[in-house]
Amino acid sequence: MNLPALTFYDFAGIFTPTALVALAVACLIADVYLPAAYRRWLGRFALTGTLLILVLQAILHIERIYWAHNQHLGFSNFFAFDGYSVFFNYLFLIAAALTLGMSIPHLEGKEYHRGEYYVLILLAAAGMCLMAGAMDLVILFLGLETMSIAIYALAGLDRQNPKSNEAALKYLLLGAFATGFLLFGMACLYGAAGSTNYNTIKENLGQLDGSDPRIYILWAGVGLVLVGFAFKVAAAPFHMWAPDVYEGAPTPITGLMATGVKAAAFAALVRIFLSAWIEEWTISYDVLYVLAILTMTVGNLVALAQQNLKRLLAYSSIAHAGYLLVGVTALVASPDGASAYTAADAIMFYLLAYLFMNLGAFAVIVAMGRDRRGGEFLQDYSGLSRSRPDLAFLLSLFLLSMTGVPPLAGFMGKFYLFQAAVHNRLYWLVIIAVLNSVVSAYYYLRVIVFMYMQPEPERTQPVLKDHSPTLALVTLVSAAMTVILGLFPSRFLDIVLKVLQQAI
Amino acid sequence: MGALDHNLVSLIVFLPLAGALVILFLGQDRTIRTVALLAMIASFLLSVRLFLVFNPQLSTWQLVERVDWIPAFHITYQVGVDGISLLLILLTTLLGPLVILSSWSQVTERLKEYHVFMLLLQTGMLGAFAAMDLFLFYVFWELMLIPMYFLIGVWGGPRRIYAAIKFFLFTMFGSVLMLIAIIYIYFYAGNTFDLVVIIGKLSSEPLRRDLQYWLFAAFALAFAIKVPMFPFHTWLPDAHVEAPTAGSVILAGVLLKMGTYGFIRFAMPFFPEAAFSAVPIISILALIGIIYGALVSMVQDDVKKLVAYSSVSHLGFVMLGLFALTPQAVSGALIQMVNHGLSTGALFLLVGIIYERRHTRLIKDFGGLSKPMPLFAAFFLIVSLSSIGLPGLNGFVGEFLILLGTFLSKNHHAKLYAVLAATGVIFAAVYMLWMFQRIMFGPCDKPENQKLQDLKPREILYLTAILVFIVWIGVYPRTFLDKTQVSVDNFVSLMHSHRLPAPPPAAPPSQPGVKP
Repeated sequence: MNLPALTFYDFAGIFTPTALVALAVACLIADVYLPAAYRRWLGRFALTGTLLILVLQAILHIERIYWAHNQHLGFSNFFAFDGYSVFFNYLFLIAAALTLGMSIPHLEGKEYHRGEYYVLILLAAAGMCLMAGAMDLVILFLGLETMSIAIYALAGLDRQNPKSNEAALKYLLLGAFATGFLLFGMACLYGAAGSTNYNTIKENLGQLDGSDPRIYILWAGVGLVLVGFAFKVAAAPFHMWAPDVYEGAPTPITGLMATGVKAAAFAALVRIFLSAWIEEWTISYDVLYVLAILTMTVGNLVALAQQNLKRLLAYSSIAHAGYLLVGVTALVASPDGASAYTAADAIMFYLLAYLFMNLGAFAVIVAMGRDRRGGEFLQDYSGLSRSRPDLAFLLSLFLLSMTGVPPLAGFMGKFYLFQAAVHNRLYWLVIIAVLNSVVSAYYYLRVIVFMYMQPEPERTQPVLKDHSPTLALVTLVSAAMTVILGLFPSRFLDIVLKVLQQAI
Repeated sequence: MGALDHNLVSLIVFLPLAGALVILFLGQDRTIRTVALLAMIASFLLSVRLFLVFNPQLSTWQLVERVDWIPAFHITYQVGVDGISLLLILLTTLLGPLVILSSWSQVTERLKEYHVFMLLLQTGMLGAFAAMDLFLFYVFWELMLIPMYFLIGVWGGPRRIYAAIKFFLFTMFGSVLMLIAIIYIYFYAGNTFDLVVIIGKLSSEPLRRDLQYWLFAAFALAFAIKVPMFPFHTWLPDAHVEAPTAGSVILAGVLLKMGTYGFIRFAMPFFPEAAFSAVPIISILALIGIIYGALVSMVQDDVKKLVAYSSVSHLGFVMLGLFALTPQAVSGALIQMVNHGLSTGALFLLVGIIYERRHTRLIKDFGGLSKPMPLFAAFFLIVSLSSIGLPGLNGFVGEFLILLGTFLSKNHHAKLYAVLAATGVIFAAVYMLWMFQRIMFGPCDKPENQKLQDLKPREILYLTAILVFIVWIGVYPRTFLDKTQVSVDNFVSLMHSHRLPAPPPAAPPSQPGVKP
C-alpha cells in the first residue's frame, strides 16, 4: 500500500483537535508540578488557551491559510477538512470555552476542584472535533470514544455526591452498551461495503441491486448505527439515562453534555448522510420519522411534571433532540442535493442557537448555586426577579428562546428547521413538532412564573449576591448571541450556507 | 417634513420601544412614567400626521419602507399603511398614552418593568398592523404575547397566573399552526414573504381548493382564537378579569382587533374561495358569539366580566360584517373595530377607576353611585350608550352599517343572519342598562360608597380624549370612513373576483357597484 505524502494541509486540518490535546497535556503537567496555591489559575489557563485556539483557528480560517480548495481529505481520506468541520470546530471550541468559563466559579471551594476536570473538558472537545471531521468510521469511533470517556469521568467527578456517582455509572454502563451497538453496526457496514471510508462506501454500495444479499447486512448496519447515535443524542426510547445523568453531573458538565455532545453526534450523523449518501439510506426515513415524533413528545410531556430545573432541562434537551431529528428526517427525505443541504444548514444553525441558549441557562443555575440559593429546584427561583433581577431576566430570555418566541435565536432555529421540513413535504411531522413547542411553552413559562409571579420564600440561610466576572461574561455572551442570532441571523446564516457549499 | 414622512411608519412603531430602552436606565418613578407617556404621545402625534398625509384615493400601500432583513430567506423589513391598517394604528396610538395615564396611580409595584412591557407591547401591536412582510408580521404578532403574559401574570388579580398561562398557550397554539401555513405560502409564492407579491401570485394562480381549505383553516384558527370567536373564547374572560386595568384596555382595545385584522388582511384575500365556502360556518359562529356573549353578560355579577363577555358579542358583529363581503358591511366592520376599541376600552378604564377606589367589582357592592360620583356616572352613561349603539354615538354607525351590509349580502341566508344579529343589539341594551341601573341608581346605602371621590382631573382628561372620538365617529364618521373607502372597495372586489359561480348553472350573480 503506497501512502500519499503528507502535506501541510493534512496538519492544518487537524490543528484544532491537536491544539486542544496539547493544551490538555499542558494542563495535566501544570497540575502536577504547580504548587497547590496556584492551582486555581489552572482553570483560567485552560480557558485562555481555548480562547487562543479559537482566535488562531479564526486567523487560519479568515486568512484562508487553512485550506487550498473546497475540501481537503487528509491522512489518506481519513479526515475531511472543509467548511463543515471548521464550522463545528468553532462550535465545539465555543462550547468548551463557555463550559470552562462557568466551571471556574462553579468549582471554587468544591472538593472536586482538580486539574483533571479541565483536562477532561479539553479532551472531550478534541474528540468532538474529530467526530465532525471524520470521513471514516474508524476515526468517527475514535473521536466518539475520546469524547465519551472524558464525559463519563466528568459526570462522576463529584465523588462525595451519590447522585454524581449514579450518573457516572449509569452513563458508563448504558453508554458502553450503546457503543457496542454502534460498533457492531459499523462492522456490518464494513461487511457490506468492504471499507470503512465514507467515499468508498458510497462507491461500493452506490448501485446496490435489490436482490444482492449484502443489502440485509447493510440494513442491519444502518439500524445499529442509528441506535448508537440515538443513544448519544438521547432520543426516545434511548433517552432513559439522560435525566439521571443530567441531574447528577456537575452543572457545567450537564450543559456541555446537552450542547457539545449532542452537536458532535448530529455533526457526525449528518456527515455520514451527506458524504456517504446511497439510496439505501432512505430506509432509515421511517425510523427517523418515528424517532423524531417519539423524542419530541416524550421529552416535552415528561418535562411538564418536573420540579427540578436540571431534570427539566434534561427533558427539554431530549425534546430539542427531537426537533433536530425532524431536520435529519427532512434531510433523508430530500429529493435532491440542494434540499438536503438546506436541511443540513438548518440543523447546523439550530445547534449553534441551542448552544448559546442552553449553556446560558446552565450558567444561571451555576450563579444560583454560588448565591447559596440552591438552583436545582424550581422553588429556589421564587421571587428571583426581586432579589436578582439580572439572573431572572437572563434565564427568562434563554427559556423564551428555547420556547421559540421571536425574535430570539430559538425561534429562528425552529423556523429554519420547520421550513426545511415543509420544503420536503413533511407536513404532519411539522404539525406535531409545532404542537410540541406549544406544550413546551407550558413548562418553560412555569419557571418564569416562579421567578416573576411568586413571592420570595423564607430562607434559613442568608443568600449572597455574587458577581463572578467569568460567569457574568459567559451569561452575557450567551444572551447576546441568543438575541443576535434571532434578530440578525443573516451573517451566521450566510456562514452556514457558505460552509456547506464549500464542503462535502 | 419630508425626511420625517420617509420613516414615518417606522418612527411610530419604534418610538415606544425607544422609550422602553430609555426607561431601563431610569430610576425615579415619576421620570419613568413621564418618559413612557411622552413616548406614547409622540407616537400618537406622528400617527395623526400619518392620518393627514394618507391619500384616501389610493387603495395601495402608502409610506412604504423596505430594507432587507434576512436575505437568506428573502425576508424584508417592510412596513406601510393602507386604508385598513390606518385606523387601527391610530386607535392603538390613541389608547397608548391613555393607559399610561390610567395606571399613573393604579400601578405602584415594579414600575420600571411595567412600563417597559407596556411600551414593548405597543411596538408589537403597531408593528403587526404595519407589517407588509408575512415573517415580520409573525414576529410582531408573537412579540405581543410576552409583554401581555407578564402584564397579566405579574400585575393581575388573584388568579393571574392561570389566566396568563392560558392566554399564552391559547394564542401560541393558534399561531404555530399559522406559521406552517406561512412557510407553505412562502414556497408557493416563489420564496417570498412579501405581502403584495404573495397576493398577486395567489390571485393569478390560485391554490388548489383542498389546499386553500387547509391553509385557510390554519390562518383562521389563529385569528379566531385571538378575536375570539365562539368556541375559542374561553381564555378571554379569564385574561380580562385578572389583567390590570391597562392590560384589559389594551387587550380589548387592540389585541382582539389583531384577530379580525388578520382575517381581512391575510386569511380572506389569500384564500378567497375557501373564505367564501367558510361564510356559513363563520357567520353562524359569529351569530352564536353575538347572542351567547350577550346572554352570558347579562348574568354576570362582576362588572369586568360583564364587559369582557360583551366583547365576545361585539366582535361577533365585526366577524359577521367581514364575511358578509359587501362594501357597507366591511366598512362597518372596520369602523366597528375602532368603536369597540374606544367604548370597551373606556368601559374598562371606568371599571378600573371604581375598582381602584373600592377594591371590588361586584355589582351588588355598588348602588346609587351617581350621588357621590355624578361626573363618573355621566361618563359611564355616555360610554354605555355608545357600546349599546345609540344613534349619534360611534357604536350605532358600525352596527348599522354591518346590519345593512349583511342584509344586502348575496350570501345564503344573509337576511336571516342580519335579523338574528339585530337581536344582539337589544340584548346589549338589556345587559348594559341593567348593569348601569344597579350600579348608579337606587339608594346609596353602603357607607363605603357614600364617601367615594369623584373623578380626578387626570381621569377626566383621558376619558374625555376617548369621548371626543366616540362623538366624532357618531356624528361625522366620514372623516374616518373616507380614508378607508377605497381600500375596502378594493378588498371586496378582490374577494368577489374569486367568487365561484353559484351551484346551479344559472347566470352568474351580478354585483352592481361592486365589480371593479
